Amino acid sequence: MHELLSAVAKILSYPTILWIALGEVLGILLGALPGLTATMGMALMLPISFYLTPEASIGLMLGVYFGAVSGASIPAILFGIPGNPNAIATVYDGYAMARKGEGGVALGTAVVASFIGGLGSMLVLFFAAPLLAAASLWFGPAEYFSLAVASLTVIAATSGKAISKGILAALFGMMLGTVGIDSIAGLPRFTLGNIYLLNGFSLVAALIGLFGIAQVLEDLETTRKGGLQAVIPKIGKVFPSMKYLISRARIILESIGIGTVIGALPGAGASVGVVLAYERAREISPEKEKFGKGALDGVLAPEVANNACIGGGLIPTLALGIPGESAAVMLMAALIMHGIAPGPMLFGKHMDLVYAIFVAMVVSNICMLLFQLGGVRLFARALMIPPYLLSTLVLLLSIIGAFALESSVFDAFAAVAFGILGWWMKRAGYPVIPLVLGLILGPMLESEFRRAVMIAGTYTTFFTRPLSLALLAGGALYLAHQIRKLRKEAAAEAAASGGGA
Amino acid sequence: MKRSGLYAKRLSVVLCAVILAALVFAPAAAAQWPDGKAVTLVVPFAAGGGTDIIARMLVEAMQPYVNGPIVIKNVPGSGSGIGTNEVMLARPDGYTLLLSGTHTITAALQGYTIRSLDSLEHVASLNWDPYVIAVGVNQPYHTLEELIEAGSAVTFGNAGAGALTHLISEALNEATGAGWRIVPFNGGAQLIANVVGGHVVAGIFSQSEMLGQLTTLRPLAVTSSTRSPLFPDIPTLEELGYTGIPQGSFRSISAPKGLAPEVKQAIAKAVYSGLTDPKFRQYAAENGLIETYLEGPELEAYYAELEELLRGLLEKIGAL
Amino acid sequence: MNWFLLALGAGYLYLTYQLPSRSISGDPGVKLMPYVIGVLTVAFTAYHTVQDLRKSRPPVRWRSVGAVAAASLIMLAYVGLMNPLGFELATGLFLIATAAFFKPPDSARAWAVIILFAVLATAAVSLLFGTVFNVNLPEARWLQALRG
Repeated sequence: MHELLSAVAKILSYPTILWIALGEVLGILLGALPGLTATMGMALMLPISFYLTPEASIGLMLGVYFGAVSGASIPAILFGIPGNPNAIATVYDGYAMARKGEGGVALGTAVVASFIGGLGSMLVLFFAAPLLAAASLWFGPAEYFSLAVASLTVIAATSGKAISKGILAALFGMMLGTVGIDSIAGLPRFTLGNIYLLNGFSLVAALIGLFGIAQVLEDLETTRKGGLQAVIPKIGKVFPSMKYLISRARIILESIGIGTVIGALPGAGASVGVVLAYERAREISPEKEKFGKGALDGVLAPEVANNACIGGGLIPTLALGIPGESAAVMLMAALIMHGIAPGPMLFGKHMDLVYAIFVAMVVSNICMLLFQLGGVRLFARALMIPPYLLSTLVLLLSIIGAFALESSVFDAFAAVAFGILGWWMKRAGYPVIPLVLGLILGPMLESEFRRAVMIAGTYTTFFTRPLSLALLAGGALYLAHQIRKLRKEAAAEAAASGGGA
Repeated sequence: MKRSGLYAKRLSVVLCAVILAALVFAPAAAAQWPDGKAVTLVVPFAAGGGTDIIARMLVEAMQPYVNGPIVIKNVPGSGSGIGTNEVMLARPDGYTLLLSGTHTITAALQGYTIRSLDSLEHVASLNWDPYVIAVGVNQPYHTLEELIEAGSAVTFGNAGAGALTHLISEALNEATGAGWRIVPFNGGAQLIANVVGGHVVAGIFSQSEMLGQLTTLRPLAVTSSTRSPLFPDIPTLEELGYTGIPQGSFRSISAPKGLAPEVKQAIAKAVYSGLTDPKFRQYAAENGLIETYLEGPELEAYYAELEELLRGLLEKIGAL
Repeated sequence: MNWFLLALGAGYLYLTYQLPSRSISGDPGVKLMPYVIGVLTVAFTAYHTVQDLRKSRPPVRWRSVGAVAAASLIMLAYVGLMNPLGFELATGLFLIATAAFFKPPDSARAWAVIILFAVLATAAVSLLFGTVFNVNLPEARWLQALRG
């Protein structure tokens, strides 16, 4: 208790709190610009953090991290560009709302959701970090393979009537995922002799193209006819009511759970977490039929989940010294610079610092809420730009965003190509999300499969390891359940139309 | 070029951190080569990795000795191939440098660059960053000998296919005749999780990774020829009688071929000043980096030797 | 889309077949997963093709395809010119071309709006990405040459 209080005093002291606020502003800005990521901002701050106290340095880093993840919802909602993978599930309903003139409340809800998600996962981290960390070590190659299979199954199964098109899109994504140096034998595959393809396709370029550019191409005709009118956002009301939040307690809690757990598994990634949270919310939301057409719950769930992923990701980072993603690597680097090695010893030896991290998380979430509150009204005005200029700006930000991540002209070309692909897929009725997840999960699925077989020396390892078997069985059951539901719906529809005729 | 200078100014305005900026870009002592113009140091990896942090610390230590800002440009991709390419194609005027090393050799040999290694000129070397061979603490092996005796019962992880840790594991497997089953992972973090979680028996780790896992991993040997200051009690592979194994990750500064001799001299001098700066030395000692300064024909010869060694290993794993 | 996917699947399988079979001991190999993906792709696409034959297809609206092709060409040209022209100039031209394509200007005033927009947007983007966040935006070779 004494340690906790002293941590509060340290974080709330001047100038530590100023560094947190600064990190937060920087993070929101980074997140709001496509292609710029939390990792980039944290790398820029790394040399500065060297001169700060450990507490201020952690605060600065966490500020950038939380800010960037919540800031990414801004372009996703306003322009339909997910600037980084955390925001892929926010695009659908957030952007649909913005086009209906409800961009203000979508942004406001995203901010509040980020806040709740961040605090929720902080509480989980506070009470259960060592426990969850130990559990994450049960996941070996076989378990990760089964997790990837189960995730892909869930996502393909929720493609609705277009289930076979969903599977095809996922297969196409996996196909693209095999391009590059293969991670077990080190052999370049399908690169056609191009050295820029050795690392495979950039995920950010794919996201920006498939969502941002594809959307502009789809609206092209309407824009050119002057048909797409500037939406005057109703800025008056930006915050969801308390009543609404309470009525969605279940969605919020489950999204925190999904985000934290997926975040805690190094390598699975926030993008998988947000999509699973979105799909889960679609199942349990009272407004499920509005999903994809501008449901507020469709913004709430993924935004809770992506900030919860941060807390989840900190679990293996702090408790095991194993960073699950690149932003966590930066946080670790900042700690190591101050002579603190995250890992199993941290929770015993540096409890004061662990508490400082918890307090910094809370403070940085509060800062995020305050800054975004002010920002939301401002950002929503971007929609008042005439549509032909707005579309032009979206294309520019998309191309620059794809370029910016690795200063790569090749990635910018790839984004344009993905844009055309996304436009074409939409016309042909193919869903895009399974493609993205195929691209993310495909390489994981393949390399973990091969690794598991190399370690066990047999193909049966996936069924003899209990956790792996449970994951596979879970995926299969879900698929069966979904197919039965679809059959029933189809039968009911047939009966209805038969009765009508 | 102008942009980088402005960057320093604007950043400070934006961040209200004028003092810090002044620290980073301290007034420079006069020297011939930079002539006030910005020097770009290409780091062929993403920001925040081990090599990147070393580059950032070095640049900070070098800055007071250089008349003009040194700017780090991260150009990641293709196992350092993309960034190396950029330098190979740049003008040899001393304003584009590469953070080179063993990664440069493996990338070029595997064809990840358009031109060959001959299009680079090596200016000065920095250090060796040795790796640590370790097992999970719950494993019954307490010495490298015991691990070798266990033979094919041992699964031995490394941080990536075709990467240096992979080559070292294969070289060690060959030199000891152990017959371990080598399993490549995607990066160090994943490898730690799998060794700590008991999914594989042993692995090869960077020293900073090892420091964070002292209670969960048991170090058996270090790869450098001299003992690491961080693990003075752990024997080296050479002491244990195994040779022909790369000592770890070697890092140096290179430039496009065709530097004027006096420019090359000036760069080498600046690198040496940074490398031997007390602040950098302290950082190097805390992180177990073994200072290895070479320049001129000596360095070129050293590079040729390393290239020979790595080529042989790459052929052995079938990557050439 | 069906024919595209069929061709893609077939081409992918062919490339997989061509891969050298290098593998380390115990590894199921570099070809296994590509084969599985390729075969499944071809199988599902074939199923789709058969299904679609039974349905009538809506006619393709070529006008919209033409517009998309034109917009894509502008974008590709922009990316291609980024290095030779330098970031600022290429971006300015791209913004003018795209905005004029989306809404052909019919008066001097409309042109002025577009040009003002292009200048402001270029300045804002290069300030934010290039200066504040230190992204290495392409600098024109000819500018470098001028500066010496």
